[in-house]
Amino acid sequence: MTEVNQEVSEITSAIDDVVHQRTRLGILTVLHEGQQVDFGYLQEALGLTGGNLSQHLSVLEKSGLIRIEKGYEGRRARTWISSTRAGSKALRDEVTALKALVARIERPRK
Amino acid sequence: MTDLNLSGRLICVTNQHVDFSEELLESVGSLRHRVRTDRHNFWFPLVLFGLFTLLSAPLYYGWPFHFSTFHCRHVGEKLACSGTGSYHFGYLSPGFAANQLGNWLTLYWVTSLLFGYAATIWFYRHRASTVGLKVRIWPAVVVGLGLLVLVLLMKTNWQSIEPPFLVSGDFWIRGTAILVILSIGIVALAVLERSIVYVVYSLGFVALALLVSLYNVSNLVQWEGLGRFITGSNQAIPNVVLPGIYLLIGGFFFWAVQHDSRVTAHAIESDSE
Repeated sequence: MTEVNQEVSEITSAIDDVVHQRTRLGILTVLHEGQQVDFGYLQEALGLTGGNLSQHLSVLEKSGLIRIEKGYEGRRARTWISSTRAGSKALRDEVTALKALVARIERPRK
Repeated sequence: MTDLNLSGRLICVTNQHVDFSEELLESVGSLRHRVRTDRHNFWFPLVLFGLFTLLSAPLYYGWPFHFSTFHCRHVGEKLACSGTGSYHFGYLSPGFAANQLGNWLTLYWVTSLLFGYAATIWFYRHRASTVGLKVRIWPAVVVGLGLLVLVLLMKTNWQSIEPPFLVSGDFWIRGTAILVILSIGIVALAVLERSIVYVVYSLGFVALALLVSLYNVSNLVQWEGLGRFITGSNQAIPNVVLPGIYLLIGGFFFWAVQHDSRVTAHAIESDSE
C-alpha cells in the first residue's frame, strides 16, 4: 500500500456509514445549531417529505445519535428533535474526515 | 483512481468521491448558515437594553451629587471618605450621592435588568416556538443576573471603601458599572449565538462600558467643541447616552441584516422550487 493509500485508508475508516449520507448529515448539522429543532423546521430546511424525514430520523435514533420528544404546545402536537453527545461527535468526525479526504486527494503528488 | 480494501469494505476513491465530499461539506456550510440566520435574535436584547440605557440618562442629571459634602482621598489601594450628611453609596448608582437619587438609579437598573432578561427569555422562547428552533440562552441569563446579585450583595463601608476585586474606586463612582455587568451578559449571549461578528461587537461594548465607567465622556465632547451644552449638572449624561446609542445602532443594524438574509434565503428557496 502506498503512502497516499495508507493516509486515505485512515481517513475513510473514520467515516461512519450512518452519517456519511447527505440527508442524515444535514439533519445532524441542523440539530447541532439548535438546542431542539421542530420536525416541521427540519422538513422545510432539508426539503424532505414527512415520511422520508421520519425514516432518516428513525435510523439516527436507533444509532443513538438523536433524541425525539413528542408533546403538545397548547392543542398543537409538536415533535422536537435534539442531537445527543454521540450525534455531535459523529458530525464533528464526519466533517473532519471529509475535509481531510478532500485535502489529501487534492494535494498535488510530490 | 485509488482502490483500497478497508475493514472489509471496498472503497473506491475517485474524483467523484472527492466531488461528493466537497458537495457534502458545502451543503453542511449552507445549512449551518441558514439555521444560524433563523436562530439569531441577538438584536432584541440590544434594542431593549439600549432603550433602558438611554432612558436612564435623566437619572444621571446632577452628578456628582453633593460631592462637596464629602472629602475622599486614596489611601493606598483604598478610597477613604469623610464628611457629614446622609451618605449613600450604591454600586450601581453614582457614589457620593447625599440624596435619594442614587437609590432611584439603583432601583431603576435592577428593575431594568430583571425585566430585560425576562423579556429576552420570553422573546427567544416565542421565536423558538414560531420558527421551530430552540436555542439555549440560560447560561447568558445566569451570568448576567449572577453578576448583578454579586454586586448587590457587596457591602460597603462608608468611611473606607474597599474597591471590590481590586478595581479602582473610580470604576464605581460614575454609576455606570452596571453597563459592564450588562456587557458581560451580552458577550455570553453573543457566544451562545455562535457568531464571531456578535462576539466582536459585544467585546466593543465591554470596552465602551469600561471607558464610560472610568472616564468622563463629556471631556471628549468638550474637545469636539460641544462643550457649551455640557454643564456641571449634566456632565455624566454622555456616559450613558454613548453606550445607549451603541446598543441601539447595533440592534437595528443586526435586525436589518438578519431580515435581509431571511428574505434572500426564502427567495432562493422559492426560486429553486
